[in-house]
Amino acid sequence: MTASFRAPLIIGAILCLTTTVLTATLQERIDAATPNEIICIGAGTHGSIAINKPLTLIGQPGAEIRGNGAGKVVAIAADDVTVAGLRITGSGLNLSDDDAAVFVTGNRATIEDNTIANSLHGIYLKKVSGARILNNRIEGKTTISPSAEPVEKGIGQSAENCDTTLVANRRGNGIHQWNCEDVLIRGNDISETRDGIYFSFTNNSRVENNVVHHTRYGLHYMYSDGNVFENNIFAENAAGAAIMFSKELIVRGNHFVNNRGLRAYGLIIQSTDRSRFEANELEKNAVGLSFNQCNGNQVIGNRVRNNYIGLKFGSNSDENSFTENIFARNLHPVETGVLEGSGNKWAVNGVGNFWDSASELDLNQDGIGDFAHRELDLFGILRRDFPVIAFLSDSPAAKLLRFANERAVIPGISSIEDPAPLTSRFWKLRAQRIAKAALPSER
Amino acid sequence: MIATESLTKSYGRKLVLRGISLQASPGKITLLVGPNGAGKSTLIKVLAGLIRPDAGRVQLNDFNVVTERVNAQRSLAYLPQSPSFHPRLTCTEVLRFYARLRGVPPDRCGLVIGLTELDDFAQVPTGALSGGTRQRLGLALLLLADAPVLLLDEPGLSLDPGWRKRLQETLHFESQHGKTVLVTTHLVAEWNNVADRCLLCRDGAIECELDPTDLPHDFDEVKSTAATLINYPPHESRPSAAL
Amino acid sequence: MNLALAPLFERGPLHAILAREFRAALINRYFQVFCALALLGGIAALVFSEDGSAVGFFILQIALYFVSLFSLLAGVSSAQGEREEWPLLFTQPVARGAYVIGKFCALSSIFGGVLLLLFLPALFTSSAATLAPLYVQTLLLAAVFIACGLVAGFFAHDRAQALIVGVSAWLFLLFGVDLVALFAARWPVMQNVPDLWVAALMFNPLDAFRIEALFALQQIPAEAANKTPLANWWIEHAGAWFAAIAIFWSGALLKIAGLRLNRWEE
Repeated sequence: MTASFRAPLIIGAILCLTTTVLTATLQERIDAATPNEIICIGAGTHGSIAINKPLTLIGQPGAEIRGNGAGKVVAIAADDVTVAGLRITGSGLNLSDDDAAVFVTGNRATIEDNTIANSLHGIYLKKVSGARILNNRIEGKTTISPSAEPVEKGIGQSAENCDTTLVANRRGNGIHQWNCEDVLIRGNDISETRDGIYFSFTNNSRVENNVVHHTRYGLHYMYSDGNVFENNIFAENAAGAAIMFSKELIVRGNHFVNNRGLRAYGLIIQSTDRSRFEANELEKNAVGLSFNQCNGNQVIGNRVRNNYIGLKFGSNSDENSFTENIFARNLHPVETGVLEGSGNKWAVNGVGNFWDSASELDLNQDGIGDFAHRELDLFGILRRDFPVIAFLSDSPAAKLLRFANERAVIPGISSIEDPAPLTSRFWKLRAQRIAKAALPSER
Repeated sequence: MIATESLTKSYGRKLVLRGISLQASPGKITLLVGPNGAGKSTLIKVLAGLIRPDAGRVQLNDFNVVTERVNAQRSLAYLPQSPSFHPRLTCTEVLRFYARLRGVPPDRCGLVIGLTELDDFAQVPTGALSGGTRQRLGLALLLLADAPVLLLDEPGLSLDPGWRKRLQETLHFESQHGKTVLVTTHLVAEWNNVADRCLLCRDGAIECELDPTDLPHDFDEVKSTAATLINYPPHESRPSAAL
Repeated sequence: MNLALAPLFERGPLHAILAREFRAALINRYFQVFCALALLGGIAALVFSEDGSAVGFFILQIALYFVSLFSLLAGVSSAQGEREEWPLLFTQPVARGAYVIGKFCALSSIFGGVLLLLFLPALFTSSAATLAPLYVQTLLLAAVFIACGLVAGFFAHDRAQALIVGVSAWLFLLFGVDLVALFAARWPVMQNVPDLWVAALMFNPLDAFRIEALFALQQIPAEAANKTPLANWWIEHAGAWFAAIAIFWSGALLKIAGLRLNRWEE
């Protein structure tokens, strides 16, 4: 074929392809694409898609995939799919059908830099492994249109016809995982969903640097082992974060702040064993840190401050060790109910925790108080039997009794005892010791 | 004008005033003398509105001291036995306070300071004053309001003889200007020839009237010099005595 | 104005008493120390608190423990300060209640100023709109304890007795009521009538102040306590209730002080 013949053919092919791109729907393009092809999605609104082959979908600025309010918007059934840079909206609202903006059943999916809104679940990972959920912004659906078609069964609406608020427990989750493995969730911003990040039977995953706010549970986590949570922020949620029925987790450097409301916990840990909770900030929550039926956990260097109840210690929690934690300015430093937490270690290797009401007497200047510190749970089961007892929170009388209990145990009221409470100078003294120890090696 | 009628007062079982009736007229100095515990101070405090009588009537210039206390006290100036003032306020501040309290023009403070020769102490806190100087400040207060009735309870106890004399002269001057002056004292001899009338008070009652120009040195003398006594109250004017 | 109350509010005497109290406070070492402490407290609140709400919480503690005590002591001191002068004062043509009103107004105004020293440093981290309600409430609390101190001071024979009575009352309100409440809460009979228990706390000005401030500063989740109708009502109207109870206690205590002075005899 001569060159003069070949040139019009190439131009024609390009024109044809361009026409196809311009006229085909996104789903048609996906269907037509070869595996591992990269599809660029231009600005504009596209309908729901289903991806059944390994593809990379990259949205240009202004590109939106908008569902029709039913089912899934982006359904990924193949392995190795990447969806990035898109605005994805308009899923169905049926919880029992797992409606979601992005519904993933293929392995090794990457969902990155998307904005997800106006949907039930944001990203739903179902029985997948190796998924990467990175830097997405997920805003839950908080209202439904008053002029919408007959509201699906399962969506809560108040009795008032004009009230279109979607109640929190009828919303979907930001990132919902079920039966997954080896998932990386990093840098996402999740708000206004039911639960921010939902884990169920999902193991060996990492959750890093996410911000979850204004949800019901920031983290709702069950039956999932060997996961790592690092440097996430769970703030202003109705009920904070809950980790339940799991083991061997690492929860480090997270912020659980400003989760108010009666059942709002910074972090509630239930039936979770052999995990490490380290250097987390639990501040301004109704309950900072709550343990219930947990065994063999290490709680190290967390800052539990400004909570209504600092540490709530429920039943059957044994062999947990607490060291170098800071408990300060909590109206009730501990709540132990009828228990005394005596099966737990309140100091490890002679290093206890800092309690702001503990004596600072430290004659040998090692940063560890000379007397054991007893932290009283004055209200105990009265919280349950006589809830108005809460009016005595931070009362001078309560402080007086706590002070008295430091000197002599008040019988009949449970308390925990830290045998080696830290003074406020502990960290400074330790830093000095480390610096001194490092000097000879520098020489 | 001071008028009392059948005043009684008791503390527990102890009857301190036993139905005292008396009148003290404007323009005269009336002395109420008697030994310690006779009831003089209680009587003058009843007149001043500091003690409420159990029974009887007490009037100052037509106002009932018990039922119209504030109105009665408008015509009253009282000097207690040991006047006491806010220790950290100066003499001038004390006088100004009382002047404002009674609606007296403030320039009268300077006037009474001059009269009582307190100029050097005007800016001295009253806590630093001697007993005598404090009495002079009390005298200044007595004169401050220009009240028509002056009540003095054992005045001059802390004053030196010169100032006691000045006090008597001042009271004489005030009575000459139409004021009713009632003075209680147990130092009776010092008031010889000063008062216009002198009533002997013993055991809570006015026992008799003495000659104000020939007062005894002590009250034991009173019985032995019965010739000097004028029966009190006069039979013809019971129960009240016109002085 | 009600004729019976008119003599209490006569302008001349009231001005005189106010002026004298201001003057006496100005030269009173106690007030000077309190001013310094208030300023130090305000600075400490600023330095030792991480944010605006922590400042409020810090000031709440200062108000609860120190402002209440200092205002009580100020009342006692003022009432007893001129105890020896009463024979002179009470022969002046002034209703004795005017001394009570005058002292109360003067001391309240003085505390209004002194408390500014406590609150002003906090303006570096908190807005005036946030601090203003706490300031007003602290002032109302001070007013109650000024009145309490005046009563103790007017009733007692000397300063020592007045201090013992006044501080005992303060200790009872600060610790006693809550201790009794704490033990009563364990009593099954009391547990059946929680509103009665709540009502007892509501009438204690220190509890009413503490609850208002704690809920306003969101230190206690409202749901923790709102289990009875009265408790609900209290939480919803904690600010108004405290203002009402403070005014009620101040008024009642001033009335008692006035009656005491009227009945006083040398």
